Amino acid sequence: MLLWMVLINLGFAHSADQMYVMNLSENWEIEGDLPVHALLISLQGIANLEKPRLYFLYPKNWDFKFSEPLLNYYKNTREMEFKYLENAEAAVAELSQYAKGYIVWDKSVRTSLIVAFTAAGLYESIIVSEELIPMVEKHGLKMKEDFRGKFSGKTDYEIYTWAYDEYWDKCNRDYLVYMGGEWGKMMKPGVADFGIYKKSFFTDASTNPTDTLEYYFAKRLFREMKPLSLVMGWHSYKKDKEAQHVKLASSYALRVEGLHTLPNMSFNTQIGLTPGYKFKNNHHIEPDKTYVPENKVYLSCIQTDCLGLGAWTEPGRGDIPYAWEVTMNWVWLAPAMLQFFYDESTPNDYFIGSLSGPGYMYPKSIPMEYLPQVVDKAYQLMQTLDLNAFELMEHTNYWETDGIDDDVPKEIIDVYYERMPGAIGFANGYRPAHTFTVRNGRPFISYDYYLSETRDEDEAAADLEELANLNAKRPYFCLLHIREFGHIERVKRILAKLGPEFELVPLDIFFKLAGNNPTFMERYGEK
Amino acid sequence: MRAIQYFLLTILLAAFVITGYTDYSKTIYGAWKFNKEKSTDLATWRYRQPQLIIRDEGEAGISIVTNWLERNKVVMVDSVNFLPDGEPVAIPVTSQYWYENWYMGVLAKVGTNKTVSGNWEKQDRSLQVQKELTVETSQGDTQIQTTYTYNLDRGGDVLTVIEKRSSRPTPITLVFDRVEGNKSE
Repeated sequence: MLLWMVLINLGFAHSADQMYVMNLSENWEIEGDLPVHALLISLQGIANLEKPRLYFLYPKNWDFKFSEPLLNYYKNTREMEFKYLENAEAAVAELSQYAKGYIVWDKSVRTSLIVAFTAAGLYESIIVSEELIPMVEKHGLKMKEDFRGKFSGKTDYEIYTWAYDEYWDKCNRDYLVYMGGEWGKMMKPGVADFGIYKKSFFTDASTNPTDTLEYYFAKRLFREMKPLSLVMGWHSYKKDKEAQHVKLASSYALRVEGLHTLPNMSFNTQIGLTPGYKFKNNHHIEPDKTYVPENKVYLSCIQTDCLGLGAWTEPGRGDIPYAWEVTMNWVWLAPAMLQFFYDESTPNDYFIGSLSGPGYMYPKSIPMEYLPQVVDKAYQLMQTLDLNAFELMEHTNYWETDGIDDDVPKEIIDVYYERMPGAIGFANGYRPAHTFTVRNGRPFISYDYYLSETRDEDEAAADLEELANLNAKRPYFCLLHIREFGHIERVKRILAKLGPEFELVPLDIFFKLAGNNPTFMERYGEK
Repeated sequence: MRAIQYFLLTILLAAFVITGYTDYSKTIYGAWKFNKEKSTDLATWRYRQPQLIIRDEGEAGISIVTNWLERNKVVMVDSVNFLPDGEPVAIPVTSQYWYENWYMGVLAKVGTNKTVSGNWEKQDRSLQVQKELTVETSQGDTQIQTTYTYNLDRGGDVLTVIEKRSSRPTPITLVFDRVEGNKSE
């Protein structure tokens, strides 16, 4: 034992508890660094099977901005120590012992890599392209599958049908992974380590009904998943629309949990909360105070599209009241990662539950027999996370209506009110929506403004002034959706252009004020 | 005396060169492509861009067709037809889509009429159009009066549309370039 410890300290051997960290580059092209990244991410999924061993620092331009701050958080709060890996060869040398073999994907058939991710989980093997075979064989790994030439000339439907016949029965029915997003010569498989770790089936089958074969293939997968299971990853930007993807998943009561770029989840899922930790939101309502609105325009901001995309790590957070959509499933998928956001929050960062359910769903698409169960599960998560406001998004008919149908019918809203008794208010929409009601001082308010990250700042301020003119009664309650890449400093500059009639308030105060004096008209979506 | 005449002629020529040549053969009729760089930032869905087609309809007046383009494909059309200096025309509103701004919680009120009228400020070169529309907002229905001023530049190849809404504190400027091959009618 002593000799072993000496060897470890001298670097001639390593402990099974040793954690490693490595930088990934900005290049995710097939003819660039994707082959090495695919190898590394598959290695991560396999090496982390028993223990969290391998963590990656994603590049600055990655969708999720928190891989480095989260690593530092782990170091500071969990006393983790990491050994830095210089390159893929070093990673394979240190961690290939946990793999049972390797799978070869075909660089001339991009979809073969998506199938290889499925095979990697089932064979507990890492993924290589042809030129990387010598590197892994040097470390004693044997080939388990070889997709070179196997799928040449085949359509994605044919490839996925082969994969279904070969692997589906052995795959986990709690997690399906959509390896979509960027397409063509690029792929950004950030979440693939988690799919491998969970032995999931990977696909990017189209959910566009006009792509008949792939659409029915996707329906078949969704139908055979367990109700309320997770569809992780993201749809293909080439094949279909987000709304088509989420609509179809919701119609089988499945929960979409984006994105394809969600990093390090096979690691993060194994890091628990600090002992005794309870999630504590930054509430603003004083229990015995009555909130009476003045003759003003009340604004409140909600930053959407998942925690950790865009503004969270940018300057300005904490300067003004801001509500943040919480990706609620992280509480059980990656508890410490969610604790990181709570621990980092300031009194101005107010968390809200989202999005329509325990995950991303469209209420109108969820079968009515599942809706109560969906809402109950979301409410349970809200209670664990100390959340008392909830947000819905309804895009079932979005693409058929030029993006103006975001509304929710009354009988669906009734379910949310009934089964979320502790919710003080509901927000709705993505772009502005038009569903409004109030029940016992608990308002359901749709966004009245969508602040695009590219909107000219003077025009955005003029938009808000125009809304205040069109909604002439006071108080006027104007809920703002701040797109995820719109930074707080920019929002501050826009709001500073408005007159003294405007007041920005925290969302919970906004709900209280609106609930006590609603000036919006009650309005519901159609069935 | 002759020196004074030359001097005045030089001044006139210089003024002509400085102020530019006005091509009176060109009119606002024709097809117009949106010039995003010179226009006010628009809040449209999926980067849609307007394209204008203005036609002289003879005794039927003038028609202004706004084609909304997405990746150069027409995905939505908004058209009006009226007699300049004539009575306002009523046009049924059949779509909730409020073309002016997709980022704001405003819908056109289906089932109402929008009224449109217009007058020439300079025959075939400068047109003023008034539009009145009922919209739905979170607080209910309200009216928006909008004045559009269409001005052709001196060269006849740039059309500037100034849009002033009764509800908006600042005007919106839309600049269009004449589509080549489309001669003014």
